[in-house]
Amino acid sequence: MAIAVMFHGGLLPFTHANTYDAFIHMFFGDHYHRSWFDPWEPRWYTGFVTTSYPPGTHMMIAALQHIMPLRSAFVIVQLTGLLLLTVGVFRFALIWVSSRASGYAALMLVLASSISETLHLFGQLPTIFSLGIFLNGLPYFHRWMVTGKPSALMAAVIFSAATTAAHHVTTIFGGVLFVLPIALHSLRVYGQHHPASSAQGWLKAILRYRVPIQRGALLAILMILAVAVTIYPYWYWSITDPITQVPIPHGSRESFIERPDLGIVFFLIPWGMSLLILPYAFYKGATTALWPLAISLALCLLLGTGGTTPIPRLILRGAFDILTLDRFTFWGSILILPFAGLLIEGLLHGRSRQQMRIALSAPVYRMFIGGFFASMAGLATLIAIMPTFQPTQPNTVDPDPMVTFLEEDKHYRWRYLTLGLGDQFAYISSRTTAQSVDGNYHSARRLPDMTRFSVERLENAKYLGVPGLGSLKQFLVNADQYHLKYVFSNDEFYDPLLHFSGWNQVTRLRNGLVVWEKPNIEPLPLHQPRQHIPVLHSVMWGVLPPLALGLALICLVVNLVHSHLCDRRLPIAPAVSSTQGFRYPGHIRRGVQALAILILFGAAAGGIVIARFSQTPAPPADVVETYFKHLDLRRFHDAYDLLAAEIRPPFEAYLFGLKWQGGLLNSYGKLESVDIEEQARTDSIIDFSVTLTYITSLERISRTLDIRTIKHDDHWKVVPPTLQATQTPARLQRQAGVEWNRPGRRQPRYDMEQHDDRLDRPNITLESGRLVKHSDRFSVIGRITNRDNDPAAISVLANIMAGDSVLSSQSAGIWGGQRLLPSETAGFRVEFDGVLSLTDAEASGSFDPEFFLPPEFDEAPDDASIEVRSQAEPVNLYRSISINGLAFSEADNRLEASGLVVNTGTDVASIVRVGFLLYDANGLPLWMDAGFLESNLYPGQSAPFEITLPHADEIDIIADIDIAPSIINGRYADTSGMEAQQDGARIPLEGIAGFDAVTLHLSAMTYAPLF
Amino acid sequence: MRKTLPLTVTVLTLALLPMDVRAASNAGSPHYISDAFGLVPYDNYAASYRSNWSGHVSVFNEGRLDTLAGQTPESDHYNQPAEPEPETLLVFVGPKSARAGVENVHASVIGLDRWGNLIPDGTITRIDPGFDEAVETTSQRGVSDRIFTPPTRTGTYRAGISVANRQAAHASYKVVTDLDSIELELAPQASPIEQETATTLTTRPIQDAYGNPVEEGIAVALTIDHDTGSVSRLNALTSQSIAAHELIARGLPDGLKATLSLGSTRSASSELDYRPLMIRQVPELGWTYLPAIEAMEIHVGPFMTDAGFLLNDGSPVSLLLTFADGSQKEASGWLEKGYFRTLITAKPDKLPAEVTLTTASTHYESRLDLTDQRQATGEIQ
Repeated sequence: MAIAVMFHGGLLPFTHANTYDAFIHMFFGDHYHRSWFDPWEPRWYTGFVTTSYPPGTHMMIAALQHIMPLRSAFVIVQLTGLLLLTVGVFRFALIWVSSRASGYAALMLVLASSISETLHLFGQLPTIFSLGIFLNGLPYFHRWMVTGKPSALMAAVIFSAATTAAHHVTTIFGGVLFVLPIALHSLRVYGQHHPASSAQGWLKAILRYRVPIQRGALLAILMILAVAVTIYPYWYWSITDPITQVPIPHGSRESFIERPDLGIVFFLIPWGMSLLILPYAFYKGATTALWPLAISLALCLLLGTGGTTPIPRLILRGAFDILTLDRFTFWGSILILPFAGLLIEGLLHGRSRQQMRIALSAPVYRMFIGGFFASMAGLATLIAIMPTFQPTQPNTVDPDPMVTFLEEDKHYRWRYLTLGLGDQFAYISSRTTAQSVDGNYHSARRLPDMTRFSVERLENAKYLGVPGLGSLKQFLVNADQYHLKYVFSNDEFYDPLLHFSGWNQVTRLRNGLVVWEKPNIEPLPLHQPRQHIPVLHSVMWGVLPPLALGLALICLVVNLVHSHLCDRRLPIAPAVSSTQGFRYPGHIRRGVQALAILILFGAAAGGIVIARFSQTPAPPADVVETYFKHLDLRRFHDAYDLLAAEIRPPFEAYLFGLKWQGGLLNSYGKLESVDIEEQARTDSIIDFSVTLTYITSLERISRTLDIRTIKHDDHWKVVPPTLQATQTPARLQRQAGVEWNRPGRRQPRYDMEQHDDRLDRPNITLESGRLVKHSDRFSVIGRITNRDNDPAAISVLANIMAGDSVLSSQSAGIWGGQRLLPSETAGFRVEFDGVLSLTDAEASGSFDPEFFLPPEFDEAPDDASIEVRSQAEPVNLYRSISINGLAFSEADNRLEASGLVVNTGTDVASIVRVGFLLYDANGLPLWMDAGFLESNLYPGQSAPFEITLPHADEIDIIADIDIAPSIINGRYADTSGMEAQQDGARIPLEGIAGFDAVTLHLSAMTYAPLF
Repeated sequence: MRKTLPLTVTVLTLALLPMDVRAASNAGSPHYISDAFGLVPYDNYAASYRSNWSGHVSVFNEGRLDTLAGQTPESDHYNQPAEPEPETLLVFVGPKSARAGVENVHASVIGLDRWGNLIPDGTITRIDPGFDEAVETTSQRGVSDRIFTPPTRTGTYRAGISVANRQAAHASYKVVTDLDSIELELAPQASPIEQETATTLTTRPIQDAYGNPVEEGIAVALTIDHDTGSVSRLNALTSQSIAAHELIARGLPDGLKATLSLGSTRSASSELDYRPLMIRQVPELGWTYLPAIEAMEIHVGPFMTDAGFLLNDGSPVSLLLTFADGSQKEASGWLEKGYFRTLITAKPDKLPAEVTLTTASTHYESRLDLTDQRQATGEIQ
């Protein structure tokens, strides 16, 4: 226990912030600290019930929070759980092996890699704590089965309840993996205590077991009752509010052969040195009374392999996609400890020690033993500090500036979202009463948009490819439906999506987070809906779990006081106590020597193979792929080393070229795949056509490059690309411009929303609207013009309808003219997507990044309505973008547009968007689309642009929308004189690809390009 | 006997001074007051702010409460007026930006006395629109308002409103340009547009039908139609009543006809004078063999123009070599300091080759025979 405190207790204050789950448990603890009896938590997912997770450990954190800070309380509870587990392993092992071996088992627990991983990488508090309670209760199970003492039954039920209070899964699966072996062992012990006489027949010999079996049945019933009653509100929530989300991918369910990296995390690391003990464990299981324990161990070993074989899925069935299977590996690493203790006892004190000293000599034997323990300790330490050299979380961010921002000017009246903060988001949530649409406990998600895609959190969106981004985009686009107004971004990857969805950068906080704000968002209502929770459930939830924990603690303390750590009153010997000497000691010695030689040779051979492999030149295609992967991960030196030394520029010049080419791909894209096709070859030169596919927050983009490799000294190298040497015409630019400022508050007064400080909503006209269908997608297309003298931020909301029924509502996202200067005209497109159900996900198998789910409507849509809101917003209005030589043509029955985009202004255009509103022969909008330039544009620079648009015949017109009932800034649209209000800048197309004209809209994002 | 309401009373005729319930009661002191907020004992009423709230008030004498059932309850009642002198004036003048000659402006004020009562009907209100003489009106239900036509001259005006002897803070509003009545015209070019230079194309001063210059920051688009059917589009914001479009003459096809547009207003088209760079003579073509990589470096240049300097850096160039055996090699790139260099994965023993050279920005195409190190033959097409 002292080692546990010194080792893990010394690390926990520094490592828990880098774990995945620690902050989640702190958030739950904070919830109970704020309100012990009310399970409704409004701060995540627009509200959820905390009866969705057993509260025991969280309530302990909440209780400690009254006397210490939240993070300290977590550390104390976590350390307490570890100490409970240490004692529990000792008491559990006593059932199976001698007290000395049990002591070694407890020592092995403290040095186990699975404990290091669970504590310092995963931060799993309930897993540790619940198992600690459970193991301490198992001796009572054994005593009840063998002796029938009522106090043992009562204690066993109390510990079952207490375990459930901490985590129910431990009780449920522990009942199979830990209790069943004990039950079988108890039957054997009972039989020893009540031997059958030779005069009894075989029937009577079997019937003598009816008493312990009946005891076992009674215990099982009471355990089930304890599990059900202790967290009854949880079961009620599970049954009445079933999880509708799609399965969340988890690495523990993958095939570890196909994903060896996951195999390391979820198999090799948790087993660690225990892998070497597995053969011994199965040998002892086959030859001694430890066989029930060995069967459980084998089952955990098998289930922990995840999707490597089909067997776990066959065994677990539907639960396979819900459970994280690393828990079985963890339990296996605990089940093996009695075997480990037995082995260590033999190596240090028993027959194995004697034979090894003879076979290897005493010094070598001591080196072996010392090396084994040193390896265990070293591995445990390495795993605990792994995040310092292999980060698993973004850098720690000070939450105070964000909390302060939310408390200022009543920003908490709106919801917020964080991006790129990792699991710290949960800790930040605990520091404020403001609400977020996101959360960190996916089982409680209830928003249709959240349950639709298989992303753990919106935070994680970019790491899971397009499905995650699809969910995030839905929130950012339809922000007003969720009263979502603020985004705190720690990752520039999302900047393009935010900007082109109508969000504006507001400020950068002291901790480096960038605050984005969306205009035209209504605050949360003062009275928000919440789920009705019966008073009885609230009382049960607040009383029963802590009561169970308290009673279990009393039982344990009483037991410890009376009997120290081992129950001396238990007249039951362990399954295995002393061992005889080896029958063939000579064979043992020779086997040990042979094994030692084998290990030495194996290590040498392995080293030679590794050395040879590292020196083999990589094939040219691999070199090309590796080059682009280095660039994607910003490993510029590694990428530079792959360039042909004879012709590459100096590193600084190379870096300059990379920095020059910022923009959507290089600054905001994440490389998804590299496809390489050989074009030409000589002995020394190979030309490739390389197609790079990037995920950006806007779309998936493919770019094809011609890459040349040349061979030098048997190694293939990449010929560096060069930049087009276009020259900016002016050395010093002078341009007249307009500077905008909307002060908001015009006086130093706290009063908010002074009418005198407000601007009128800019006068917007909605000139046309259509409901169309293209590629099975419904869209509302239209044209809006800012007829005011003030610049406008515009929100367009469309309802798709059947008759008078509204089937779905969506806002215009990146296909909308969100920012219009006075007299500017732009098109918009509102797309309608469906909501994925669990059934759909199963039917479609794994997700396809291009997957689109058509919405399911009860009736066929036949109309739509539009609502437009505007607000004077003089930001992000860079228009110094021109397009030269824009040519339209028809090819392959599609409309192609290409030209040269030029930055004629004085700012860097990070991402340029070119919007096209296409008209039919009647002069009405038929389709709206937009393309984004892949690279940034410095002032005076240019880049080619091309886009392929659908043919007019591909667009089906469902309905022409009557503009008169449309709501513009809260009033019906004024359609008088509408016919005269045409777009003066319309460009005729004269029937190209079936379109009659086009309206262009050029805009740009000018935030500093990332490098 | 039907139980009567305990509030059955008789009528008292009271000659009351405003806001003084305790004045003259012929039948005795009133004991109950009823107003819009309910019934309250007089003592409570008199001691509270309620006694200062305007509205209809009924007064009941306790002595009359004993009136037998069946009689119609009677009470004295009066309208409690607000104080004539308002303390708070809430002024609304809008729209805050009214289009010249198109939109009217509505000025309104809500007056409240110190107790929060709306000012009495008929209270004199002076509304000064900020550009003309003030007008007087009277209040109704606490509100005074007037719709007026602002001047057609753009600017910011400050309206002042006073009620009785109390003034409100000023309310500002703007008269803005009527963008629907503006006319657009491109100003004459100061000089021809030259390739790879930045030229500013400005409009003539933009004003509406009333002579008001357009505000700062209005978007004006410039569309250039080319002979090829393609277009170029530039955007600019108005500043000092003109819009200045920056044109960087790069990648422009022949023929430039410019049209301005602002909202639904278009100007007439104007021809723009554009002088692209023309190659003066066929550039030299040469090659150097690199045995280490078994490739030829082709170098073409210098690309000299009729302007007296080399063709600009970054001009795209494409090269097509057709060897004697029929095989072809392609390469593309751009000029740097007047030269184009590229690597062709071929050995010199494949020569001679027909060479087709294309530069996009100068409409130049040449055929050259490649037989030796450096030569320049062929013609510009």
